Amino acid sequence: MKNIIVTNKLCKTFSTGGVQHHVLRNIDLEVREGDFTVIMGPSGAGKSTLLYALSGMDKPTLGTVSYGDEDITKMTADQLAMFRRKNCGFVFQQTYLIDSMSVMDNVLAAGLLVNNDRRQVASQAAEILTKVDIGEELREKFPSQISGGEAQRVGIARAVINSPKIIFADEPTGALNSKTGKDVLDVLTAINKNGQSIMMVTHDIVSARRGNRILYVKDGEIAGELMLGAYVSGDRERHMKLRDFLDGMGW
Amino acid sequence: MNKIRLLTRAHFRKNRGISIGLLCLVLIASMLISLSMLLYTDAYATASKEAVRHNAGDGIIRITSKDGSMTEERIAELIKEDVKDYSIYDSHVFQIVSIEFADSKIAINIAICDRSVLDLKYGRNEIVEEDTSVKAPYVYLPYQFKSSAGYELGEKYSFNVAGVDHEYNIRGFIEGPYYGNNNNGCFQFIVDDDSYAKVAAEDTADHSKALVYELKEGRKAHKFSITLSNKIAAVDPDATTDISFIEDQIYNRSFLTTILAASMAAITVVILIIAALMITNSISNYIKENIKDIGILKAIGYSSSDIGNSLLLMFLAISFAGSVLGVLVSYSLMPMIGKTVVSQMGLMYRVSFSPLATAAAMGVVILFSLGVAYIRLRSLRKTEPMTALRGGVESHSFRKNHIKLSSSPFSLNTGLALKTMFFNRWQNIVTFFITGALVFVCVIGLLMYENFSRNPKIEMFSTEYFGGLISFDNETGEEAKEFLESLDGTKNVRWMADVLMYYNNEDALMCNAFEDVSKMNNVNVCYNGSLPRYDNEIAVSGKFALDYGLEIGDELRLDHGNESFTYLITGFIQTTNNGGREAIMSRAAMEHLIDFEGAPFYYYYDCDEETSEAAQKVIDACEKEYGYHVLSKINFYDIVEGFIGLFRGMATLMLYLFCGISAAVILLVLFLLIKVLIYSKRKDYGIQKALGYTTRDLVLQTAVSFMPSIILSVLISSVVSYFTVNHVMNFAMSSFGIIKANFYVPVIGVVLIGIFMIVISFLFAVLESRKIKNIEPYNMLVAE
Repeated sequence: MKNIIVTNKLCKTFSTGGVQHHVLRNIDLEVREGDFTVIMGPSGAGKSTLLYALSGMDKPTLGTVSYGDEDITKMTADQLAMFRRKNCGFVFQQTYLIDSMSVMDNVLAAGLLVNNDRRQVASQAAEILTKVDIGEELREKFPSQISGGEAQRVGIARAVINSPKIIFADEPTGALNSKTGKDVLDVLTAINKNGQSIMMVTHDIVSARRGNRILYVKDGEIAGELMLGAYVSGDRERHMKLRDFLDGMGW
Repeated sequence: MNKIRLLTRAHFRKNRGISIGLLCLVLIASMLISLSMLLYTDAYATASKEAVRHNAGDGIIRITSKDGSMTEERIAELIKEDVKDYSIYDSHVFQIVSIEFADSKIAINIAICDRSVLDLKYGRNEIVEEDTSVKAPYVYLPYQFKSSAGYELGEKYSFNVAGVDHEYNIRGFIEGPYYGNNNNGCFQFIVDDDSYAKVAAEDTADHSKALVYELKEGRKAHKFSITLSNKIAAVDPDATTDISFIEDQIYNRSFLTTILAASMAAITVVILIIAALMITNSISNYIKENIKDIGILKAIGYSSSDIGNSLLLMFLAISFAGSVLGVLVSYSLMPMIGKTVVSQMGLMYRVSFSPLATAAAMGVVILFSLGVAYIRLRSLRKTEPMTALRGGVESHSFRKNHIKLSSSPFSLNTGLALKTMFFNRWQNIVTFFITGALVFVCVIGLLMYENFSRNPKIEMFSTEYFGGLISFDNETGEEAKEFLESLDGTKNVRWMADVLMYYNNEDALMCNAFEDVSKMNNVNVCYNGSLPRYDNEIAVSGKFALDYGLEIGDELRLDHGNESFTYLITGFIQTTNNGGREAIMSRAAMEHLIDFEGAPFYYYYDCDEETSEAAQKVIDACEKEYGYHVLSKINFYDIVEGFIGLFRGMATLMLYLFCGISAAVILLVLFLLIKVLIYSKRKDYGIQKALGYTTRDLVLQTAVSFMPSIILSVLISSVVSYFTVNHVMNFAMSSFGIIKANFYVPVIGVVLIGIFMIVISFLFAVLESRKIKNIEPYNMLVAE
C-alpha cells in the first residue's frame, strides 16, 4: 500500500529551566494509506507529541515529516493551516466543538474551508451527520445542549467532511463512558473500512483493538510495532495478541 | 475575615494582569474626573479668586471730563449714598488704538497709569514678573502679553496714536482685576514717571478718573452705575463714563477659558462613559473568567457571601488604589493644564487643593466599581456549583443561531465574523455607542474648524462687519463722508454710532445706530423677525429678550441720561459682543434719546478689494486729507485677524484634538474589547486553526466582527450629528449670545470623519487582532 506520511529522524525537544527533555528521538516512520494506526505507550512517552508533529499541529525540533513530496516541517503556520484543511481531520478527547456554533455549523465551518459550494457541502454534512447517528433534531443545537458522546460523533463528522488523507484522533473515547465510547469507535471503524486512514492515540486496550497496526512509543522512540488484521467484532485471539504485545513492551 | 482575606489574596495572585488592567482603567477615570473638577473649581475660578485677592469690589467706572470738573471730591460727593468704600486713580486713555498682540493686531483702549495703581485699596494691581535693570522709558504690561502673546522682559513694545510713536522697554508684567485682558476692551499699562508725564501732556489721550467701588449692602451695581452716570451728566453734560462690573470683567476674561474648559469637560464626559463601560466590562469578564474557580470554591464549602465579599474586597482595593493614584496624577498634571487654560485669562495659575474634586474623583469611581461588582456578584449567588464548574453554562441554555452557515448569503469568513459579532453582542453595543459619541465629538470639532478657522463666521462675533471704521471730529465729519465716498475702491460708506442705553434702571444694552439699517452687511445678525425701519423700532439681542421675557411686538422702554423712549421690538439679533446684549436701531430712533449735535462722526466703509491693504489705503488717504481731525480708525481686516486668530488657532486645535482623542479612544476601546474577545475565544481560535483556518482568516473575522456596529454607528451618528449639532451649539453658546446658531457643517467633512472612523477602527482592529497569531493550536489544546 502507498505511504501517506514518511518521517525522517523526527525529534522534539522541550527546554524547561535550562533542562532539555527529548520527547521524540529520531523517529523514522511510514504511515500507510488505509491503515488504522494506533499509538500506545505509557504517560509522557511522547504519543500525543508524535501525533501532533505528524499532523502539522506542532513543529518538530529536527527531522522531516513528508506527505508525498511535501515536507510539512518547512511550512509556515499559514501554509500548515492550508495543508491541514485539505489533508487532516482531527478528533480530540474533549471534542473541541466551537461553543458558539450549532452542530451543523461546526461541521460546515470545516467543510466550507475546502469547498465553496454551500449547498453541496450542507448536503454532504447532513449525510455524514446521519451516518454518525446525529439526527436532524440535534443539528441546530449548540454543543452545550448535546451529550458528550453526541458531541464526539459531531467531532468525527467534522473531521471527515473534507475527506482528508488521514484522521488524527487523540484519546477520542477518553472522556466517554464505555457505551458511548464504543459507539464512537464503531463510527471510526466504519470510516476506516471505507478506506479512510486513521491514526489514533489511546491508553485503552479495548480502543486499541480497532487498529490494524499498533505502535508502542516509549521514551520518545517507537519501541515496538504489531500488525493485526482487519477488525472483526468479538475476535478474542486479536485481543490476546495485543495483550501479549503490550505485556512484552512493559505495559 | 481571615478566610476572606485569604481568598482575596488568591484572587490577586491568579489575576495579576487583569487586576493591573482594571487598576489602570480606574486610574484614568479618577484622573479625568479630578482634572475636570479642578478645571472648573480651581483653574476656571482663577479670575474670581484673583478678583477677591486684589479686592476688586463691585465694579469700575472711568469718568472722563473735558473741563476737569469731575474731581475726586466731586465724585466722592456723588457716590457717598451708595458706596461703602472706594479707590480713585488717574489714567490717560487712548481710545481704540490698533496695537500689536500675539502676531496680529487688535483694536483696544489703552489706559496709561503710574505706579499708584499698585497701592490701591480697591482694584489693586500687582507685579508678577519684573526686571529692575530695564531702564526708562519702561512699561509694565498686563500679564496676558506674556501668557497669550509671548512678550518677554527686556523686549521693546510700541504703539502709534495719531502719528505719535510710544515706545517702551518691557520692565515687568502686572496682574489686576480690571483691564488685564483683550476681551475687556481696555488694557492698563503702568509706565515710568517721565513717560506718564509725557502722555499726560498730549491731548490725544483722555484724562480719566477711574473709580473702583464696593457698594453698601443691598445696593445693585447696575442701578448704581446708571444713577451715577445720570448724576455726572447733570453736573457735566460733556463728561463720559465707561462702566464695567467685576462679574463682566471675570466673564469676558474667562470667555476662551470657558470654551476650552467646556470642550475638555465634554471630552471628559465621553471618555468617562467609555471608562465606565470598560470598567463594567472588565469586572464582568473578570468574574466570567474566574467562574470555574468560584465553582470549585463553592464545591469545597465556601459560601456565596464568602466568595462575593472576597471579590468585593479585591475590587475595593483596586478601585481605592487606582483612584488615589489617579488623583495624584491629576494634581501633578494640573499645573501644566491649568496654566494652558488660564493663560487665556492673562493670569498666573497656582494649583490649590480641592477637597470637592478629590472626593468626587475618588468617591464616584470607587462607588461605581463596587456597584457594578456587587450587581454582577449578586447573580453569582444563585449559581449552582456545577453550573459554575461548567464555566457558567447552564445545561439547557438556549441560544439562537443568527447566522446559519448552510443558508447564509455571506462568504464563510464573513459569516463567521457575523457569528463572532453576535457572540460578542454586548461589546458591539458598547462599540456602537462609543463610536457614535466620537463621531459627534468630531463633527463638533469640524463645525468649529469650518466656522471659526477655515471660513470664520464673522457675523457671529460682530454685530456688523466692514472694511474699516474712521471717526472724524464734528467739524469735518459731514465733509469727510463725501471724501470717503469719492475715494476709488470704497463703497457703502455709512454713518454709525454705538451708545450704552439703560433698561428699567437695572440693565445696560449697547445700542448700534445706523443712518440706514438696510445698508448693514450683516443681514444674518437678525435671526427672528426683521431689522428696524422706522424711528420707533428696535431689534434686540435674543439673550436680552430671553432674560426679560420680551417677544417680537412688545414695547421696550430705554433710558439715557434724563431721556426715555419706548420702542417696538421688530426682531431678535444675535452677537457675542458685549456679552450678547446689544440692539440695533436707526439714527432717527436713537435721536429720541441722544442729541448728536457736536458729536464725532463714525463711518463704516467697505472696500471693493477685501484686503487689509485696501482698507489701510483709505485710512492713509483720510489721515493725509484731514490730519488731526481723524480721531480714530480701525482696519477691520487686521482686527478680525487678531480677534479671529485666537479662535482660529483654538478651533484648529480642537479639530485635531477631537479627532486625535477619538482615534485614541477607539484604539483603547478596541484594544480592551479585542483583548477580552481573543482571551474568551482563545479555545475557538485554537480549534479553528487546527481545522485549517489561517491567522489571516481569523484576524479578518475578528476585525470584521466589529465593523457592522461601527459602520452602522458611523452612518446613524453622522446623520444625527449633521442635523443636531447646531442645536447643541445653540445650547452651548447661548450664554455667549448665540441663540439660533446656523453654523455651516460641510457634508464632505462629515463623510471624511465617517470614513476616518471606519478606516482607523478597521486598521486598529486588524492590528489588535494580530495577537491571534500567537495562539498555537497545539499549545491551546494541550493547555486545555
